[in-house]
Amino acid sequence: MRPCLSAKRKCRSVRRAKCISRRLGAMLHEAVIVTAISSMIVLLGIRLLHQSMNFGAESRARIAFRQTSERLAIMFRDDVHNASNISFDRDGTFRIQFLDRGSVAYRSIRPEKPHLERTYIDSDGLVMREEFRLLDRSLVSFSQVGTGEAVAFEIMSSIPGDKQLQRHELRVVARAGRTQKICLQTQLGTTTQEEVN
Amino acid sequence: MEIVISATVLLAGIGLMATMIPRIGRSWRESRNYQLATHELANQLEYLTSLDSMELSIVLANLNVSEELLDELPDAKLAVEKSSEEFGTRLRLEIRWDRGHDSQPLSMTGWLSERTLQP
Repeated sequence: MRPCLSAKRKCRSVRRAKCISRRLGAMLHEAVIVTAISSMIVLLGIRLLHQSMNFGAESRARIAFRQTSERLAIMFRDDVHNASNISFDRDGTFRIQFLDRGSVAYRSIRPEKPHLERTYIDSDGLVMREEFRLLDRSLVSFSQVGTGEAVAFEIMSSIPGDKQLQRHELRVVARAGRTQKICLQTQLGTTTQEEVN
Repeated sequence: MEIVISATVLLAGIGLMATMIPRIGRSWRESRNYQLATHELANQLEYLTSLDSMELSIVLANLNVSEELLDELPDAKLAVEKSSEEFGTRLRLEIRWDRGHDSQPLSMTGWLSERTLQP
């Protein structure tokens, strides 16, 4: 019995040794599959990281643009309401003249990185210039609405992948000289009230 | 084993991004539409308060959202409520559009001066 058992054990140990020697290396097709899967994982990981970084940058740009456009809308309304005269230049510049001889000009600059420039010149000739960063692929336009008393200020942006299709990012319509009219009305109203009294 | 773990983590990341990206896109669109709607109300209110009483009643009967924004704000509808108050005539403008979920309309209030009402 014993010799037989020892022969079997010997046989098993030889097989185990063969097995171990086989597992120490890898077949070519196994190595290829592992390399392909790991490179795919690495590529997908890089793409995911790139996408999330782009998304973060785009989000920050959009938040900044929302704040900028709100500020622009308030300034535009205020300027147009106080206007005594408005004019549009051929190059797209929109000019506003005030009663105190001051003036404001709005013009779009740097089309590759769109900005809107607001230049204020006061009655003493002091110049103040501000630049507002807009979204990439956006266009600014100023146009007269209706009878011409109202001015529309629009910011349009094209959709990525479809440059023909444009959508509104901002649309503000303001009436020229509104503040003066209200002041005039209030003065007239006060005068009439005093006359009545 | 390592490959299986990294693939699981990566798939979880992709799944998270795939649900997050459309949600963030929707949120951007909603914030843009909200801003457009707010300015639309301000534009309309400015126009209405510049009219005299005769013009105002005609315009109020046919009040619509600007043509330029009809494509931007789906199914947009304007509603107006006119009431007399101590400080003058009050105009309350309301705008509703299809936001894809139940939501309150956006509203803005303005007052008409007596001069506007009596040309």
